[in-house]
Amino acid sequence: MNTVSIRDEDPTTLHVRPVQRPSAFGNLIRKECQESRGAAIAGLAVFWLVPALLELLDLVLEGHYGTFPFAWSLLIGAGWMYAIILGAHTVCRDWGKAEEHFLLAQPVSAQAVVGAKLITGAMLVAGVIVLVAAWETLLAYWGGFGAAFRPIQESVSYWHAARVTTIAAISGMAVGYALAFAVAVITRQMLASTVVATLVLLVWAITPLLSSHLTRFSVLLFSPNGPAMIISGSFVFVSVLGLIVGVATSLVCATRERAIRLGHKQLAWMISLVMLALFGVAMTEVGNSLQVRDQAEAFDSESWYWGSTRMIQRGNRFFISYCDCNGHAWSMATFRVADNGRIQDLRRAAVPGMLPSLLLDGSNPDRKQVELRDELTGFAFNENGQLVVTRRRMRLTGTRGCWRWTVANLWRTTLAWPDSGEPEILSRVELALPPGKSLTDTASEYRHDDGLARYAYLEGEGKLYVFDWSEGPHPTPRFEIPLPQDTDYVRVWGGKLNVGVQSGDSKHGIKDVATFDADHPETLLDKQNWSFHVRSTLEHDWPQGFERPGGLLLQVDQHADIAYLSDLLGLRIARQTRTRIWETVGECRTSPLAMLFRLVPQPKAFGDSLLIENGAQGFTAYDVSNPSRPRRVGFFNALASWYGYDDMVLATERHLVLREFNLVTVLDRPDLPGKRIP
Amino acid sequence: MPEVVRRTPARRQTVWAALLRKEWCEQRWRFFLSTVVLGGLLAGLLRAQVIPSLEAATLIYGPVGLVLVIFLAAGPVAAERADRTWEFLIAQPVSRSQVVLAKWAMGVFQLAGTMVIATIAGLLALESRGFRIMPRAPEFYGQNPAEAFMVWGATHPALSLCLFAAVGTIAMVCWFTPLCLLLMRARNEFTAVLGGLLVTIALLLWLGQFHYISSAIPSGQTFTFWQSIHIGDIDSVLAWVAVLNPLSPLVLILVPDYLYFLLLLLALLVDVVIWIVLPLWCARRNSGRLIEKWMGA
Repeated sequence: MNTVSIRDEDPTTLHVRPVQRPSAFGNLIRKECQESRGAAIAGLAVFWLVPALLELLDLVLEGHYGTFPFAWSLLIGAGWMYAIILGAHTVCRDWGKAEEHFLLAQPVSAQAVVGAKLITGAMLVAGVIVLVAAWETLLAYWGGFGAAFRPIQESVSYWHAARVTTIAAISGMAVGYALAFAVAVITRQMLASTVVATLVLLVWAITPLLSSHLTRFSVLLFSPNGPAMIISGSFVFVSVLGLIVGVATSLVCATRERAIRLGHKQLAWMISLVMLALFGVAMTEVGNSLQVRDQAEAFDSESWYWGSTRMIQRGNRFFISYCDCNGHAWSMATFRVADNGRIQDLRRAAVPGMLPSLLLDGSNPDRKQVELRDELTGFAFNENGQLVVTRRRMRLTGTRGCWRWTVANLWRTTLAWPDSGEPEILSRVELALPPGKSLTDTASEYRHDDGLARYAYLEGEGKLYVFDWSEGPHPTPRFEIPLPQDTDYVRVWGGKLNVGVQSGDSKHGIKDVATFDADHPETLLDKQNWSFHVRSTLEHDWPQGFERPGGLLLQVDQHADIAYLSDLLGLRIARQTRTRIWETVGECRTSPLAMLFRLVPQPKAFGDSLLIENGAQGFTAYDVSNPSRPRRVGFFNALASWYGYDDMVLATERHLVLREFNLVTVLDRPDLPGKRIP
Repeated sequence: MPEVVRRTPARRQTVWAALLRKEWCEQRWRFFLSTVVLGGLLAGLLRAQVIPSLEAATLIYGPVGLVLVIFLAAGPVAAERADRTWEFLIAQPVSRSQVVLAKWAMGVFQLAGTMVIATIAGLLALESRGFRIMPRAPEFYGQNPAEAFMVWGATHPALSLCLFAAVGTIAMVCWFTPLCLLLMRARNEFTAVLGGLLVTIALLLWLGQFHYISSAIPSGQTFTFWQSIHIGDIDSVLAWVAVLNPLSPLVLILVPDYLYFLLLLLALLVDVVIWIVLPLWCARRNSGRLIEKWMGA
């Protein structure tokens, strides 16, 4: 590229003086810098001057050490937008207009013009970042930040998080700038390039939060040990890729004379489709409702006490026990789930043999009165498939403010409920309680599956009375075991008998507990078995050492040598390889969005293929037929999930049966072949 | 003998048909886009059942519906003014009021069509997973209006969705009409959208008056409109002013009370008169002179 200069002294002589490329490029840079003054002033004003004034004002008003890093926060939060607008504006202020032809008529190439614009804009963005960083470092050095902020500031994790967010924000700004610049070179349109670059950044930022498969592209990376702010390799790769693509596209497309114009119509469609795609990703990750086959209200919803309700099954026949809201009348409902998922043969009946409540001498509330009331404590099937109901007659005695519940009677009945008829009592066993003793039952009314236990434990007057239900129609106490003097409670729960005593640290509610197998009461006779543990350190049966940071509470469902472990971060499957040695064999991680729906998820496996996680906003179904690769196969927004009943979901061979209060819902099993929801 | 030129008067119906056809050709992409967005979001949310169906309908018909109202109201005139075709249009032998009315009618048709198609998509999505009845909660559960609404719609999910969509459509048209006339002043679509957003935010702030009314009720009592109008004279006036908000039916339908249902009908009637009939009457007065002044054209 040459220029021609004509000397005055000799008009006929032409001296050709080559113009050095660097000087032409330098001129272009100078031109761009002059034209970018407005953008520079705007950036400095928005990201440095105004926040700095606010910080100084805050310092003056609050005294020393009183401010918050406004400028840095603003740059982190909105710097990407500035970078995008600047990238689009740097190109579109003359590119695509009449000035473009004027520029290209100069002895410079299109790449040189675009390159000068690219460098100038990048320098401007970098300048704003450097100035803000320098200002905030200066304030931090002077200790200008507030007292509430300083302890955080002094911690290592704060500086780590600050570094990561700064790098992430700068990466976002750089990629946003490069992409907006590239799109502006292609379209020569300010609005289009701003919108497209914003959409790309939005997808990059949001998608990893929505999809569990893309979390590694997020800045807030969920490492194997929990959530942590980490700049991952994937994030760096995407950043570098975005930069290279942006710069290369800008330089390659600089020579294109034809611009690809995007009208309002195209932009509107683009925005809508991106939003719909993001929404689809979110719904796929969280939703996918299971197919509802049938629903029915098992009993009247107006007059029942929801806490007492239990549901049990035998094959595809289901039984529900419930009582009225006063706890006086106990009833049962039964129904059958047909192969097509329909609820059939729904019937209701009173539990036979239950006695009505009695109020004796209740005329004056200040005088001693007696009330008798029946409670159902066991509801299960025996080995012959017959319904076994365990109940107790409770006696309430005392005066106002001083009441005491004791057991008046305890009996167990075996029932038959034929397909066409009312329930009938087949057999009845009534405990022969020791006369004159004031006894309390140790069984829980909320744990009806203990209703088949062979032994009944009653506590009273410093002794534990053990009855064997199999000893005829009126069993007498088989063992009378003296309890420690400081016994606080005796409770049977899940096949275990726990005896709690007050420990030295009883002020903090800590108790020492001795645990026995409820099916072997003879172990209580041996003093050596009475070893007490602090309840908080009581060893669990399930695998130890699987708690992880960020996972919150770990819930376990264990079946022989396989255990399903659920926490906030996802579902893990562990297998026992040696005695007490458990190893994780598979995991299904969850996305940050899905975590909102799974606070304290409780796993429950149905066979080897299906697992239900009962979370706060419904339950999630997993296909665990391949333990090394558990897959999420469905979701159902069960309203009663908050209450977390362990009998809320039961399963037949083809269906899931959900009970929400009094409403029964039959759903398709998602783990069956051909039933998997995409 | 002079030739007799027989003039056939342009039939009113022909003019209207031509105007409507023109509007349809220009604005149909907005209709398709709105339908895809609203239908996709509603059907996706109802199929996934992440939240109960009526909460999903509230979410989609409310905020997303308002965005679509702005989208549909910002287009017709602002685009013509930006493209300089508005002057050509009003040079035709039709009055401004006819042009404005045709644009409004097409917008209402598109809005209603979008809502209808989205509702049908929602019903199909519900049906694809089985119409789910929500459980009727025990005595202490479901006392606040939102939960009670779930109880109300528990046993009739499809019917309640249709009712909600109908009320939502009327409320959206009530807001679309004045917004469409207001945004005629904008000289391009960008300005129109910004203006629409600003005015809609103001409308939503006004809708927050319902929150003020409910907070004025002594604690421990449930929110009832009838109580609120007896709190005091000023609050009573404010309560009735709140009903004049074009979006008030969307709030009132959330309360499953037959008195509220009567109030909802009253609000619908009043809103239709104030926000649809009155603006259109003003727009048609003197063949659209008022509109001409407002547009500054």
